[in-house]
Amino acid sequence: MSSTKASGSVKNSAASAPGGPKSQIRRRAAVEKNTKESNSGPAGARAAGAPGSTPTLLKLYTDEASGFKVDPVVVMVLSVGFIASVFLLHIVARILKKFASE
Amino acid sequence: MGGARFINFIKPLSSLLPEVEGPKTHLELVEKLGWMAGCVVVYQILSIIPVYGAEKTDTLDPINNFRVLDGSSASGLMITGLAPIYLSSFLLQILASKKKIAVNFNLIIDRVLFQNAQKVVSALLYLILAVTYVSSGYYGSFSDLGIFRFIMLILQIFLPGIVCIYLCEIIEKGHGLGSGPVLLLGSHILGNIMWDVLSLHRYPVNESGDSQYQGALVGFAFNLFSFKNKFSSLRSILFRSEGLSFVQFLVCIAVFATFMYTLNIRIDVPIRSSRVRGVRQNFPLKLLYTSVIPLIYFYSILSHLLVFAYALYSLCPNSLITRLLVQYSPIDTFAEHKLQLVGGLVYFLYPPLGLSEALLHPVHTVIYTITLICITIYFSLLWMNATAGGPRDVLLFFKENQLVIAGYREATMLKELEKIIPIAAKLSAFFVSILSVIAGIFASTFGVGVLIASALVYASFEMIVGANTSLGNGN
Repeated sequence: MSSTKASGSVKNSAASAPGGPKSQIRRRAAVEKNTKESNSGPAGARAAGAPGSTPTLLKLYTDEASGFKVDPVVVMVLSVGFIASVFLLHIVARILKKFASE
Repeated sequence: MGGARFINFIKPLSSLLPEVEGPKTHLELVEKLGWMAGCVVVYQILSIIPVYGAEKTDTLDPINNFRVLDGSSASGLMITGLAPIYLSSFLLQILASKKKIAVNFNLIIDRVLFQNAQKVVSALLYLILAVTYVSSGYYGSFSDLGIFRFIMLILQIFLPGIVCIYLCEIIEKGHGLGSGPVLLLGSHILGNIMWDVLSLHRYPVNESGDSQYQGALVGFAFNLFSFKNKFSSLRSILFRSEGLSFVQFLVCIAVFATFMYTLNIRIDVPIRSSRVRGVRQNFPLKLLYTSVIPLIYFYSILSHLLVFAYALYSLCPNSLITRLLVQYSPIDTFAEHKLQLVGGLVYFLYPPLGLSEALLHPVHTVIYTITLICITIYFSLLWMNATAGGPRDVLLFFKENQLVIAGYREATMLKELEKIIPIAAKLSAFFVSILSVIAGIFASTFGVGVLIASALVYASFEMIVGANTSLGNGN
């Protein structure tokens, strides 16, 4: 038991030489790796932690801005208004055609 | 930041398209489903209402059956469909992931600029398509229409596109569940198929006044129990080419079953916690890793190509470029009225629809299949990396949750993931492409529609259940 512990401690001290060339090389490589990774950055919204498109589903809108906004009820009302206007155009055209034929 | 960025450059245009406000309070599930249903209804109505001001021409539809797949309708306001939304979002997300456009997704402000850019590009594509349709004489030539009706038609075709963009945004801002474009496309495909299966509408098939039901199931049942011209009518409903036939309906069911079966095929990567000993679980890596997304992207590009090809054909029908790119043959019988694509480069990107078509033109079938497989595999790999599905992203996910692959050291995990995940993406694209070609040959665009709709519905279901755990628990 004590002999095993002693050999372990010997191995540890041999492996970790503070300020040695190995640790310097390893530290520099780590710094370079971190720099490289930070430069690349996330490839999409989901990779950055925000909800975004997944491999099987497309998603367009993930965040809210602080600018001018429209209530969805207004959007729906305008859409129905557009539909109604086109519909009315058809009705008016049909009525005019009927009167013209008469 | 050095240099002008695309998302900043496009920012002034974003002010023309204001943002939809997210819900101020928590919406119940029923309210969300109500919003989704409302959006679908608005979209369907846009597809049904005819365009005002069109000249009564005998224009044949060059896109015809393919409209099942891109969300458009031949006679309605929604003639441009959903292809611009899909194309712009795919394009921008892939460009951003390849660093072609500089977006720092770690910043909320950049993410907002990015999604606004997607919206603006969608609107621009809708405008381009609207101008192209009207300029090509689809609704009558300029001399017949006059300037007022010309502009009126462009507006009528363009504004439904803006409405579509906002319908998608309403759903995705939190008023609905899942993805907006997926909901609209899925509902469009399923609506078309439902109509062609159960419709009671009859159409003439010959000069003698004989008619046939449009619905495949209805027609089959009716002809089975009727006695007038029994066998010819039955043969017509079983094998007709002008709409969904009963045999094609059966093929659709087979495609659906095949796809559902394939959804469950996966590789279980054994993982364990790097902290707690003895806890083992599986990380499922599905065969259909990117599902039908690459296929939809390909079809959105094809939709645009078909519109531009038709414009080229109608504006200068005899030029050399037109003959090289696209050649049409008009089909104008009692039952069918369409412009059939028969030659040119665009022809080899158009799927063979129908068994006779595939057999009579084997070169087209082979070239299309190979082209489709290559393109979708390429798109699949791009999409995998763009949506946090690549090997590095999965490794990051493992690290964040203190997980390691059982039997591998941390240094070799990336190599293992880089081996299996791209293969999953490639196999996914390959399988979906083959299945879509087979579905197209035996069940026309309806088979491909079933394939796409099944994938979209399943993906939406997966996301919704994942986001609302109470649904999964059966509460």
